[in-house]
Amino acid sequence: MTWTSFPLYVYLTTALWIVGLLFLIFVKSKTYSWFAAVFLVLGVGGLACFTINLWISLDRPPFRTLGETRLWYSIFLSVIGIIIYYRWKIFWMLAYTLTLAVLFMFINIMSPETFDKTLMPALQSPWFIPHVVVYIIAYAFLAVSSLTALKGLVLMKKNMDYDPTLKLADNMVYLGFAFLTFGLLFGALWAKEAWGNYWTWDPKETWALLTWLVYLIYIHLRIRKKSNTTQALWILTFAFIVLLICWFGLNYLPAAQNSVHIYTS
Amino acid sequence: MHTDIDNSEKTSKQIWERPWGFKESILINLALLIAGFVLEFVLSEYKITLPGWPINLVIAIGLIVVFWISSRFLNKGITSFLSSVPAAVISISFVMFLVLLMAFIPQQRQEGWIQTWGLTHLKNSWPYLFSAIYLLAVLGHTIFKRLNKFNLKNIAFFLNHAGLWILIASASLGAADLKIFNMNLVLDRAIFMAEDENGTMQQLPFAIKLLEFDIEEYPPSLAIIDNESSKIVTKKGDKLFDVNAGSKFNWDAWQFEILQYISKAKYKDGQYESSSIMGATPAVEVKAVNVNSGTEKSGWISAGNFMYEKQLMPLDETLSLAMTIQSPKKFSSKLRIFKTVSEYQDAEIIVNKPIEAFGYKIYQVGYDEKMGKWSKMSAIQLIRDPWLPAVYTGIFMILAGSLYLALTGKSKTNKD
Repeated sequence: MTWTSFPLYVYLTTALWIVGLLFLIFVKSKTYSWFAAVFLVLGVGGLACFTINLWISLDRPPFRTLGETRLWYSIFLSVIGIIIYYRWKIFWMLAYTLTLAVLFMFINIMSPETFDKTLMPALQSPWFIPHVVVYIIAYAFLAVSSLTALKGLVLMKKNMDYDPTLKLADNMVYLGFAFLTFGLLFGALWAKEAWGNYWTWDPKETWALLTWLVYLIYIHLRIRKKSNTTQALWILTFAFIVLLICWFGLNYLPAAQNSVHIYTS
Repeated sequence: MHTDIDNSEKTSKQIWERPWGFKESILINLALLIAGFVLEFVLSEYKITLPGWPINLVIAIGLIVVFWISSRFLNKGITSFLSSVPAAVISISFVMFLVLLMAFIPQQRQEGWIQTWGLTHLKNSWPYLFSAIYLLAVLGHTIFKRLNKFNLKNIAFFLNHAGLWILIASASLGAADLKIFNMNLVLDRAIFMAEDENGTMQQLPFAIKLLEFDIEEYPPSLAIIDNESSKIVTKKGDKLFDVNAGSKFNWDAWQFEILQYISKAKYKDGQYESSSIMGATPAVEVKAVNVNSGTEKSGWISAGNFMYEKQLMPLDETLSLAMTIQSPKKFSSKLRIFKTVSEYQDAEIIVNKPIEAFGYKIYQVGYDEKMGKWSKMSAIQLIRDPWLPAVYTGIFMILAGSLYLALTGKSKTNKD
């Protein structure tokens, strides 16, 4: 299996998700809400199927290129959205995560990548998979937290009750931040085994630290009850921009071209 | 968590009137930042060198004692400020500001004001030192304050904060005891001189001989390239073409068939033949047919190396069929490490699998890339990092604390 068959899977997954979402919108009966779940989960299954096949035919974990990370991101994001919906009944979150997942898959269709089986020796480590997977999970939670922050800002402007939204944002940040910390420290432990240094101020490390620090600031601001909530929410929205620079932007920074973290294309 | 001090902060409060809040916190950090950069400017030729063992240990313990005494006996106003949210948020922002500068300014020597103000070596500058000490002070006071009412619920808090303290302190103070040596080993020669970080040669208390250097490579592939730019034009998303004998593939109007693949071949009179001499290169014999024009060609293709020129198969004026350069899959060195002439141990090092010998970790770093699999040189690195156990203690404390955060979320950790 190569990337050439990817569009087929994307169309299938997108169709399944649309059916699931339409079900939830138009069929209000509780009994049928589980019917929608079948479509939503089947959609994720389609993507997972493609990923597993890609993994097998590549003979290496598909984490090496930006497109490969986008694929994982789509999977985790949709899973988180589905769980949040069935756990807390937040429909807009489901719609948002699925839309974002579809968007990321279409980016992959528009800019397909070369099918490359090689993996440099430094990346052949038991740390490779946990390091990338926890980061992608963190990114998925933090994306959700930023959107929640935006919703909070809108509610605030409309003088509506934003307390539950804030609580959700905080919980997403705590979860995302915990995974972000895992990713950062797994990376340090791996680097020590591969290069002898746990921290070398590689551009990706610098930006990952910046991302970690912004969320750390948000968490501390929110501890204080009388802190300015608007400010905290803006910081949370802004934090996601730092995260995106760390994830994608770095590939375009001339200073970062020698980084081991540059995705190959 | 910190609400007991926050409640009393009034909006009508004069600046520097207790209790201190964000304004005071920002001013303190700005003062430290400016003082740091001024010191950097004034002492621009003086390089900060942190003391090594055992003075660094004394400093670490000294910091803990000072923060403990200050949190117990110092003026309550100051200590409760140092363990407050405004102090935490602004001290993190201070660090973040410096890291942000590092992200945008290349950290290498440059001439001019950027150098004199310390902006090119921030991780070794006065502002950085001040921000680290201040952050340790804030963290220290916060930890000691929480220790007063230590209970099970606070364990995650303690793991995260004390873990970070230990990590920052041991990584910064331990840097002075870090020893890094580089060696370029040559086959069958015992070497006991190694280059340190400053490029000076030093004698090691042992010698290392390279017994064997091994390299495994990924098989090469074939691709259609643009004659002018040498870039691959094969449609993205597709596999590159396999080199195995008998395999067939199409591209546009072209049909290809691999007649022969020799993984190690030498070139002789326009032909390639199997050989294991040094510099042998992979080569394939390919037949190409254009179904539109009926053109038929066959010939040899090879990626080329230090011995042989690369060999392409031109299809037309603009395109050629070419072989990709092999990339390394795994490389390793078999070493013999001598304590004395008769006392030695043998070991193998691979990337990601260092070994330990005489207090050093030995890493496989590289080889002579021009020679590729025929390299007789293996580059290794020796690292001695006595503070590593302390750094790892910090890392594992934070990992455990984060696990708790992930499992409970905000609601549970924040009830007190």
